Amino acid sequence: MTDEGMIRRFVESHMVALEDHPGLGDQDNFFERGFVDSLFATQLIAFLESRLGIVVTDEDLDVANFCSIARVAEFVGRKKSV
Amino acid sequence: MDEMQRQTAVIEDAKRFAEEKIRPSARRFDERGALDRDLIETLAEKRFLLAGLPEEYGGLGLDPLHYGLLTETIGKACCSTRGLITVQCSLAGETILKWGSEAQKRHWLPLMAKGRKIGAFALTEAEIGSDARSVLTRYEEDGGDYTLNGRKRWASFGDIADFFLVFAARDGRVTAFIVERGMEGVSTRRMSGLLAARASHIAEIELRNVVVPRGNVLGKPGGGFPYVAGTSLDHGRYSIAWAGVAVAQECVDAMVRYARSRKQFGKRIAEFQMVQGMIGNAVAKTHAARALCVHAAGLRKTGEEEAVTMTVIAKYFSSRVAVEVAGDAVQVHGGNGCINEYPVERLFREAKTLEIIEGTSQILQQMIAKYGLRKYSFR
Repeated sequence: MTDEGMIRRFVESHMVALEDHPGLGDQDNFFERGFVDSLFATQLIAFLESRLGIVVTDEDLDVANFCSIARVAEFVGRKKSV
Repeated sequence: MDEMQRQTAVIEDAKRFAEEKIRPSARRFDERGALDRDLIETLAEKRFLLAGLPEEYGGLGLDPLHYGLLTETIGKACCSTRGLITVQCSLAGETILKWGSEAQKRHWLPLMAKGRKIGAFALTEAEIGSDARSVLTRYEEDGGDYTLNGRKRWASFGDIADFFLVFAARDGRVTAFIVERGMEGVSTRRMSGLLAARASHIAEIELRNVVVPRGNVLGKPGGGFPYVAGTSLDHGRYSIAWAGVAVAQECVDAMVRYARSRKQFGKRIAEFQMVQGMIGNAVAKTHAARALCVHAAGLRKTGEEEAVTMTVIAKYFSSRVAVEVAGDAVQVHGGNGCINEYPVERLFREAKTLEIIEGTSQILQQMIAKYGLRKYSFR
């Protein structure tokens, strides 16, 4: 599975969405859509570090890096290319 | 000595130290409303203040399980002394370790480990508790520096802290700052009349036009919530989960000791089945709480994302267990449980605060419910 696929699966597994939810697009801000709670941020960092093998540092702490599936995937790609 | 033996030896040393140097003073600390300064210095000498942090920063490098066991050991002897380690290591130390720049880590962590700099966590305000993203403390950017205004409340060890992790907002973005006591416009006021944590030097912090240099931002502007605060609270909850086990186990010890010695109707009260019922429940609940903490420790050691939720569950459960077991410990003691000549009076008060700090039981229930709604769904 690609990194983006793993990220999508992780995000969806942490969404509290009932059966009739409209779905989450790659560009959708999952915080603004209200699909995740405040724990999600810490869980996302743990996921990126434990499953995708990157280390998220203070320099990476731009909220724009972590707001949507696409942005997280871009961030991971940049980290892995360094 | 291998690594596991080293960490086990730390816990054994902590047990001796707690029995000899902390437990005998716990009531005095509670009544006086302060820890002894030389105790803080000894905790630093033993490197307990940053026990869970790497040795390169002055910590003991304990893994999550042994850090938890240290928390339980110190917490059994004295909640406020344990509170110092919770704040210094879990809330402040772990947060700087994760989100601090290399310069911040090299500067602050060794000083914290040596007890030369005490930190405090300043998120809560008079009007803002669980809704932490809505902090009213404000910051303005001013030529590369930041100017902070606001008032924080309920900062454990805030009265003696040398610096504060302050969360302030601007245009809906929350940023974390390292605010030093010596900065102009910083003042603290000791809070009194507390139910518990009376020796935890809890204070209000007033920030009046405090100029904070850019180098004191923790993480990046806008990353304070949920990222920086989330790290703090995750580690804080883990420590409080073990603190609940500590209070519960101390209550079990006290109720068993009392029931085995107290005589009524010509018999030891331990012989009465209804007293045995309370002891049985207390033992089972305490073991269950510890098991949840140990499970969370294992997940945290390997960095599993599920560790965050399991920590929430452990904290929720163990703090409730602490309250329940402390209540039964007082009950077993009868009238003697209602006077400070017996430690269960203090433990009963201390237990209640564990259900409130680092996430109230009700907020944690919501988090656990959402986890359940995701995990045990229609799939």
